[in-house]
Amino acid sequence: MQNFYERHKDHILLKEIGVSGQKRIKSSSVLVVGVGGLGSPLALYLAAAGVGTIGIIDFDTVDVSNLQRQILYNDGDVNKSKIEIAKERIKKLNPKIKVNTYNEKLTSVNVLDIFRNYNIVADAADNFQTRYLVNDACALSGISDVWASVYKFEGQVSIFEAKKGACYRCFHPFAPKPGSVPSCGEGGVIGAITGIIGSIQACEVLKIITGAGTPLVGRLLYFDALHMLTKEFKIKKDKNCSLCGTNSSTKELQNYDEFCQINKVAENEITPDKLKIKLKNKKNIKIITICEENEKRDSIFPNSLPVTLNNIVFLKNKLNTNLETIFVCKYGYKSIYAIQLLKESGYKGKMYSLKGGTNKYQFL
Amino acid sequence: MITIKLNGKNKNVKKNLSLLKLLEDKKIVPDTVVVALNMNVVNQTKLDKTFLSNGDSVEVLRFVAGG
Repeated sequence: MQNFYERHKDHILLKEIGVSGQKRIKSSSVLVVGVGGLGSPLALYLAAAGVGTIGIIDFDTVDVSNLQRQILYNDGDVNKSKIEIAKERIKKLNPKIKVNTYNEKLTSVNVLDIFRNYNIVADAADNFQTRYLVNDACALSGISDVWASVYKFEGQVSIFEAKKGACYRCFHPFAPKPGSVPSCGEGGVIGAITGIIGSIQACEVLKIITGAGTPLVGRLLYFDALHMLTKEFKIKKDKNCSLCGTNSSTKELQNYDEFCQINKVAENEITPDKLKIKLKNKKNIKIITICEENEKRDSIFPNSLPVTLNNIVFLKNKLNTNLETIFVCKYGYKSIYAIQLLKESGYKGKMYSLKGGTNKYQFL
Repeated sequence: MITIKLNGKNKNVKKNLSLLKLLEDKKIVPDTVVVALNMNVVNQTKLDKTFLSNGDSVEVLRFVAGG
């Protein structure tokens, strides 16, 4: 016990925490969904704070481009499984705590079994499917969803507690179409913002556990690091919310790929192998690379035309409807969205999106 | 015309303009953003039924999932 008081002396000194609060932290269990940019500082601060059981779930490996912000990992960890390295780092920081690892994708099938073991879930995922899944499973299990997300220089944080207030669906009922919102890997992110926002998430988790202060329930904190300013918005519970509203229809988990329309658009996709064959056989193919403004152009198809999504409809009068047009982007989502936009604008030519994006495409 | 603040900047818009129409005029896809009117998040299903008044402050944030 001596070590407990010494280690956590500076938490115990805080009247909002004290010995009883620190003991509550010790007996709590928190699941961190995703150990990337947000999950790294989040898991480290929870471990340092003495959260008795920390669960971490992620199925990714460390990419060299992760090291700019994902502070759980070192240079020598590239290509290794994130979850194993993360556990090692967390245990090194605080050997007293228990770390449960889940080297798998969070799905409708495993989510409730995993969530059952935790008091609080902190959502540090990197995609909309997982975020709606985490929200719905938290609401159905009656636990808090401490949510945050980042993009470029911005961060957003809130706590979704369907029992007390708004859930994620009250905040935003419909997922954006695949590709219409760029990810950090596409639009970029300043590494330090994930440190700021992940630390705010950790702070909110500790506040819920100890009952200290005013948690971010029903409030959205918006952090703009570029101009260094914060704003706060109220989020009201939606009486008609499909999940937590009075007449809610979704009292069970659903297919989140379908909800986020991930599968719906597959008819326009072309696999890398088929594209290779097309490129070998045909010369009358036009390739368009969908890029962000100022993004360094993907040079995988050197003869392709770079176009931003904002300018995509201007292609309508420039493309030859007798040629097949292949749209490519890094992950294969924005290219699907580009096709949808052109279709909606009335373009009739044949269009394909490279499945999996240039990320998965290799010239063999 | 009425004057509103859009992301902190003064802007003149037509009277009785809905938030949805404001987004459409700016070529913003509603699913991709979070819209707040006078610091309250407006539910996506109510964007077409929420009309602007003189002096209103509108913030349009990106809806993001990055982690």
